[in-house]
Amino acid sequence: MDSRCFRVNAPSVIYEQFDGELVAIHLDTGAYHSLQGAGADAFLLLTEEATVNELGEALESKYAASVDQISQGLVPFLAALEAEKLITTVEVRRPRDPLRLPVNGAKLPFQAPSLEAYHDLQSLFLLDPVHEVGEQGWPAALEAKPNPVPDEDGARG
Amino acid sequence: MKAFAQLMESYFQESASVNGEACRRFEIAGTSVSLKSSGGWLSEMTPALSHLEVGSDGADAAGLTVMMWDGGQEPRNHLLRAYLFALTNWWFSYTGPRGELLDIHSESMTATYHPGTETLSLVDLERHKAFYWKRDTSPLPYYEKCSPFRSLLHSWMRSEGRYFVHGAAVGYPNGGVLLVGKGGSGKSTSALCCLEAGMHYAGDDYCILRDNSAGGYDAHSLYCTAKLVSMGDLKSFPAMSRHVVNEEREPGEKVAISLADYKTEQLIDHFPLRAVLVPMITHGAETKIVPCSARQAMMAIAPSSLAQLPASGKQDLEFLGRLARGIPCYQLLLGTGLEQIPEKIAELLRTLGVTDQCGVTAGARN
Repeated sequence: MDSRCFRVNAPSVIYEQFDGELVAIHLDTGAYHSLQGAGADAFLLLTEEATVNELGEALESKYAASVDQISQGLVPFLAALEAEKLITTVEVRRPRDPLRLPVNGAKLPFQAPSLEAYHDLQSLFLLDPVHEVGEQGWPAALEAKPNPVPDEDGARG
Repeated sequence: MKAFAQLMESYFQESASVNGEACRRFEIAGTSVSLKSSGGWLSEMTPALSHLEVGSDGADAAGLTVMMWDGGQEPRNHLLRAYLFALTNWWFSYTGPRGELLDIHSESMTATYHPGTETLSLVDLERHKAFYWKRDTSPLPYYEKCSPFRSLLHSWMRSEGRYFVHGAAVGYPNGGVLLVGKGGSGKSTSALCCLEAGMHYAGDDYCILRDNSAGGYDAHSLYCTAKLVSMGDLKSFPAMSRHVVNEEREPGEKVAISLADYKTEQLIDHFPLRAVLVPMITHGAETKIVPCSARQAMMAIAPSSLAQLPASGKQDLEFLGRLARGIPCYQLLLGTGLEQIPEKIAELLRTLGVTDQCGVTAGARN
C-alpha cells in the first residue's frame, strides 16, 4: 500500500462543499471537478494531510466497509487526484490530531470514489463567453474547437 | 509595490500633460467609478457602460479612479520604461498561469497582463486607484470594448463586497433570475428573448451580485452590450440588427450589439435575485423549468465566472457557493420555440412571489 502522505494542493486548488458533494477548481490548470460521497469526504480529510491508510481508518467510521476495502478503493482515486494536481505529496508532516469524520446514524454503503474532471475551461478563456452557438444560429451549439486559436476573449498569446 | 503604482500614476500624468485628459463618472453596483483617460480612449471604452454614467466631474474620494492611457509616449522613468518593455515582449516570463504579474500581484494590489489585448490592469486597493495601460495606440478588439475594464473592476468590486458573475440577469424591479452556464448553453438567447418580450434586463454576459438588506442577493447591471456569434443568429432578433456596432467584422468576430439606445426603458440598474437558472438546449418542443441541486448550479456558475477573471479565487468561490445554497436553483430546459422562454421564466417568478409588472406576453417582440 502507498505510504506517501498527501494534502490538497492549496492555494491553487479551491473548493466548495454542498451536502456531501464537492466542487473543486484548480486555478492554475483551469480544470474543475465534482466529487461525491466518500470521495468528497476523503478530499476534505486531505486538507489536513493524510496517507491512504489514515483516510481508510477515518472513512471506516462512516462507511460500512473494512479499512482495507476502503483503502483499496481509495488508491485509484488518489492517483486520479494526483494526476489532476489536486493533491500533492507532503515531505515533512506537521503534527495534528487523528483524522475524524462527523458521523450521524448508521453507516453508509461504501462505493469506491471516482473523480469527475472537466477540462473545457481553457476553451472558455478563448471563446466568446456571451453567446456560443453555431454559424446557423440558435439553437445549434458551437462545436468545441480541438485546437483553440489564441488571442480572443481572454486568450493567452 | 506601492512604488510601481506611483510610477504608473506619474506616467499617466506625463501622458495627460501631452495628450489631454478626459473624465467621466459612473455609478456601478452602488459604487462610484471615475474613468480618466489620456487620449481618445474614453469614447471607445465607455459605450458599454453608458447606461450607468452619472456625470463628467472628477474623481470621487470614496470610489475608484481608473486611469487609462497607451504607450504611444514612453515613461520618463527609466526603470518603469525597462520593465514595461520587458513585460510586453516577454510577458510569459513575468506572469503566472492566469496573467498575474509575479512580482507585483498581491491581495492589496492586483496586477494582471493580458497578452491578447496587450493591456496591463493594475488596482491599488488601498489608494482606490486603478490603471489600465495599453502597449500601443492600435485599436482594442471589439470584445474588450463590449466588456471593458472587467479585470480591474472585478478586483475593486470584490474589495467592496460585490462579485462578478458570468451570467445574464432578467426579471422585474421586484425580482428576477440569474441565467448561468458556459457558452452555448443558451443563457444569452434566453435573456434577449426576455428583453424582447418586455422584461427588464440587467445584462447578458456579466453581472455584479451583492448581499442585500433583506438577507438575499441583488443582481446589478454592468454592461449594456450583447454579442451574437453570427448574422444567422441575429435573425431571431431582427429589431436588434439596427444596433449592431461592428458592421464590418474580421473573420470569426462576433456580432456586437449596443443596447444603450435599444429599449432603454427596460434596462434596469438592479433587482433582487429570486432564482438561479441553468439553461440547457434540449431540442425538444417545450421549454420546462425543473429544480436542480446547488452543486449543479455551482458547476454551471463558478468555473466560467472564475476562468475569465484572472484575479478570482477562493473569496469569489465562497460567495458563489453561498449564493447557490441560498436561493432556489433550477434547470431551464430550452425547447425550440423561443417565445416560451420568457413565458416560463415569468411563470416561475410568479410562483416565487414576484409580481409581473411588465405585462410579458408571448411573441411581444418589436
